[in-house]
Amino acid sequence: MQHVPTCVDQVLTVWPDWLQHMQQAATQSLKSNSCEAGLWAQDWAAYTVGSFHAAQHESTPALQAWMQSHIPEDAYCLVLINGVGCLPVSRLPMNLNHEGCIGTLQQCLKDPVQAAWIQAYFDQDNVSDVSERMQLENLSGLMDGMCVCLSESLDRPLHVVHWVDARARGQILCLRHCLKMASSATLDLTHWVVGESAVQCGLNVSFHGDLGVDAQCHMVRIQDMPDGMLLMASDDVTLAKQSAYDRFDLNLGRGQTYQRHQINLKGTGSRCDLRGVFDLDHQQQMIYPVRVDHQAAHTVSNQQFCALAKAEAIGAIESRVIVRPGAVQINSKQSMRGIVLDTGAQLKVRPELEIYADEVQCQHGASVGALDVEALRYLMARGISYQQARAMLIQALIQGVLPDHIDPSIEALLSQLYQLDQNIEVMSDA
Amino acid sequence: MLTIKGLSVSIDGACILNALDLKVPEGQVHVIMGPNGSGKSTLSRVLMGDDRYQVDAGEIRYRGQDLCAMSPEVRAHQGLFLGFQYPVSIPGVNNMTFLKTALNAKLKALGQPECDAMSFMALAESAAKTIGMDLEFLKRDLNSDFSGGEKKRNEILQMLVLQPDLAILDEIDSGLDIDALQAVAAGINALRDSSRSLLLITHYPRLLELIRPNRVHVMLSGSIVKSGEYALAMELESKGYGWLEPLTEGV
Repeated sequence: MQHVPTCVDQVLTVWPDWLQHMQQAATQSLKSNSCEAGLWAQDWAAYTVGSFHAAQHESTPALQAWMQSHIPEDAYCLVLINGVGCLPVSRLPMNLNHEGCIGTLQQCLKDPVQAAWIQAYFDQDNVSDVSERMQLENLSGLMDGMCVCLSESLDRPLHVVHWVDARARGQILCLRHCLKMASSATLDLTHWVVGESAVQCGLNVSFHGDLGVDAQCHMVRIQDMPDGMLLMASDDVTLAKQSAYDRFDLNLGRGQTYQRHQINLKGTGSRCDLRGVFDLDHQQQMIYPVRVDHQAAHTVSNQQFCALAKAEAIGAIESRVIVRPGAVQINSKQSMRGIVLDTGAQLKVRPELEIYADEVQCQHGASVGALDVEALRYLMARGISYQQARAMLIQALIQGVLPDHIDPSIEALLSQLYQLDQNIEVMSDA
Repeated sequence: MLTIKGLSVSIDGACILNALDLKVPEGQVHVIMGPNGSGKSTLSRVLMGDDRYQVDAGEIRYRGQDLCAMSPEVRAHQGLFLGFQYPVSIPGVNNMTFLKTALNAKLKALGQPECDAMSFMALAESAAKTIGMDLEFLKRDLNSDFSGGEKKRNEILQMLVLQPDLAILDEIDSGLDIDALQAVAAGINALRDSSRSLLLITHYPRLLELIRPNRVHVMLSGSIVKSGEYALAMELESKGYGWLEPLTEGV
């Protein structure tokens, strides 16, 4: 069968160095037989080389200051510094009635009760020997990750902060996050991937989520990495009957990113709502492949993405919706908007549909272009400067894909985005 | 207020305005009529600084200043207003926020204190009342899902809030029902005073019956070929433009 080049392929052709770099790292990990853990490692997995000293994941004043301005005081918080959990600065629930656990993978597995819980959850998926696997990966360089297993709703929002600073220079940090939610559990999760400037390092992050019947997870991931950082993220989320997964990705940083999403709508009536705002600048490059798999009837998926590309940035959003045989009466929507703000920038967006069932509703739309010149002229004819008019139009586009409820700290980040390097006043409520 | 001398304008090499002369004194309402394609809308867009058009010759003086040297937003700050023939819809930009931003941009440029939310609401409410517009429209996105008539009313609302010195209204009466036409006329008349001028572009004398302009100009082939009193509009209504064709010879 002839290989049809995808937009991801096209971006990779202009992005060979990073791929080569990650492939070398993956080869190293394969040689050390560390990629056996199928759940945790993808075929492209890269593993950290060398050991990491404890001093490299101690808290710093910069992190403390960042947390004060970004993490609400009343929220739970799990902090990972340079890939390793840092419990002294974390704020975690003390008592989950021995019916779940929240913490770092390493920490949870050390606790017999929590380890049992993790084991119990994964036994359901016929994935055994979690402890053994973790030990194997730990020996070969797996660092840490978030581990959230909930038997009931969490009473406060949880913020997971992955902080990377200069001590990680030259490293590839490997993290595995797992989320398991029992029936009817709810979780409000914000995942920060943030770093200090001028850090040359790579992140290999996978997120594995399982939502039980009627469970609801509202997740926000904010990626604000500086130039020089590479992120390879792979998310795999499976939804049981009537469960819901709402996800909002906000990419503000200048790091190079590959973020893959696989959503499996396995249970009848399950639904996912995926939204994303991506701000690409300088020579930044981003690949964002999404795959939503409707495996059951009456499932619902909604995708709305908006990407802005400036300078010489390149971005690709590629979303495929698959409707399996028997997945009747599903409803799927895909909307992708790319705004190219400079002539040197490139954006590619592509929705794809694979439908093997009848009685389905699938809508898809994608557009890439510059800002509406007529709208700019209209605003300027009313006395609004070009910069401010541009910011207003960008804000309007972005607001169209935002979830209904946004945390104030994220509002502040978005406000910076609207200003687009210009010291201008953005729209506020009259 | 506005003096245009020998203005020639082209777009993509095609000449649209040809040695056009026009004077609109302070406190007067002038009307430009003319067949489709005669260059009326082009003139309005050029006056507002649309960068698609190239000014090949002539000059435009506004209050003695060279208008062509000003950017579109500066023209607006200096008191120019264009009521668009086809106002654009901008989903996601709130009508009220947009108008307040525009007003404060103008005030700021003029060195005046910005309008706070309470004052702005009072201003907008008063303007909306003048033209019988429901304030709910201010809460919606700019011209988004507005009917043609609602868009035109919204243009007049903006004009009343921004209080321009020279308002150019491009076919503000097209597509309006009788009530909407009267509302728009009320808005225009509310703005009239001895220090402001209006330049209306229209095809129909219906609006002029309600406004009674000081001068009527006929534009053919990119030039003003005839000017007169209000009676000229009535004459055009009965005779059309054909009888004026000979005046375009040599233009």
